[in-house]
Amino acid sequence: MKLPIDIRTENPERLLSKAYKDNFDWCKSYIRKNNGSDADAADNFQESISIAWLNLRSGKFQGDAGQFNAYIRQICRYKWINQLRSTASNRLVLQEDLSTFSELIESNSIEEDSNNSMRLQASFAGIGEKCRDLLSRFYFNKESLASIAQVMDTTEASMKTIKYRCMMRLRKAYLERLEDDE
Amino acid sequence: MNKYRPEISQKEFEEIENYLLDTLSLAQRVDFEKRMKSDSVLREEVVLQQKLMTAVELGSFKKDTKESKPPRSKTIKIYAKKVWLVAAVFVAAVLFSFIGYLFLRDTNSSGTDLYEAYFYEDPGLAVVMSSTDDYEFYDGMVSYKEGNYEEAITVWSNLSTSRVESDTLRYYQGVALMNLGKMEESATFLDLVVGDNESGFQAKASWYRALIHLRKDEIDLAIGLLENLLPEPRAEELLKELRKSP
Repeated sequence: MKLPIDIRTENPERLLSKAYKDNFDWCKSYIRKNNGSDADAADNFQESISIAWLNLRSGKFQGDAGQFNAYIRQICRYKWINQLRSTASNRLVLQEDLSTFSELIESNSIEEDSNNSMRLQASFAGIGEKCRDLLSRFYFNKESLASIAQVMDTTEASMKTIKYRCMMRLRKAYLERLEDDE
Repeated sequence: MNKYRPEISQKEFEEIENYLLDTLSLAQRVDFEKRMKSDSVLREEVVLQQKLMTAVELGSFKKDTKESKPPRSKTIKIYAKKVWLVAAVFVAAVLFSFIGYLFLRDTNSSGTDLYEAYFYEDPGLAVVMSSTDDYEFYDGMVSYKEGNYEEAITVWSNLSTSRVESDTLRYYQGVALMNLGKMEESATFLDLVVGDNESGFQAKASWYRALIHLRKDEIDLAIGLLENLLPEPRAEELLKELRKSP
């Protein structure tokens, strides 16, 4: 029996890179076969992996690495079919129907997840380069505060406070976007 | 109007962070989870902070996939903005090692002493690749940067037997083996890069190969390689030390 992904112990950089490697070619091939371009595939895949990651992190998705790959692929297919269906000229070329997505995806929540993912990413993009760099190093690359402090020529204690301030900036940006959208 | 406060205190933030990063002791975790059960505000704060950490991960990954450069040429390029950092780490490492050496040396330094004084681990590359092969290399680099050299070597060994043959790969296989103390095997990989005049890693490979010679007290061979690195300051410095040795 395969073990479920433990998000507390897995390195996010490694897990996301592996998910990208395992699934991008599949998603690209699927979209190409269904009237999409490489650019469509790149956009779709970025959104699909973001939604899957968000749901893994929140606990909405629970399963092993193989199931996570299947989940990403389902989202990729769902999003692409949904996009094609919204274009009248493409209705006749669909090879699948959205009704096939009952098992892993609650289809009515995918759009909501997609909006939330975009909101979070836009909030992160707006907090300034220094904060982005610091937070990426700490939460994504898993560098220690001591080593980040050394690189940024400051003390570990200062770095701790700066990290807190950056996270509060991200919080403010996210809450403002959330309020605007409600 | 959303349900959250505009800010939380640093203490509160750090407590939630410690819970999410799993750095609390068992007793602290049990206590925190007990409080979460009865405190809906705390529960909501944990969910929000988890989302913000996810935003960082997604933003960082998006940035990496968009800004990455695959190793299409023989040598993987280090991000330009990180070059100064690599250089600074390098200079600091050499300086630190040399100060340590001056402090500890005796008047009859052997090659092994000098090896200990001048050796520092290559910090690895901050790169992300886009093709399948590149991702395998990158996967190994993540292990390398974590200090898990054996795993890095395993990943890279599979890579080399498939399609990728690059001086970058050979160089990092060599230094990973060296970090594990496997000098003979390391030398085999490093020699390939030392002999490659078009490689951007030739100088670094020569430096580490010279250190392996020092470790084995093959002083003349080390000097030969170091002379090719002149006027590089650390090579000049080490050569001076070697020539002082009896």
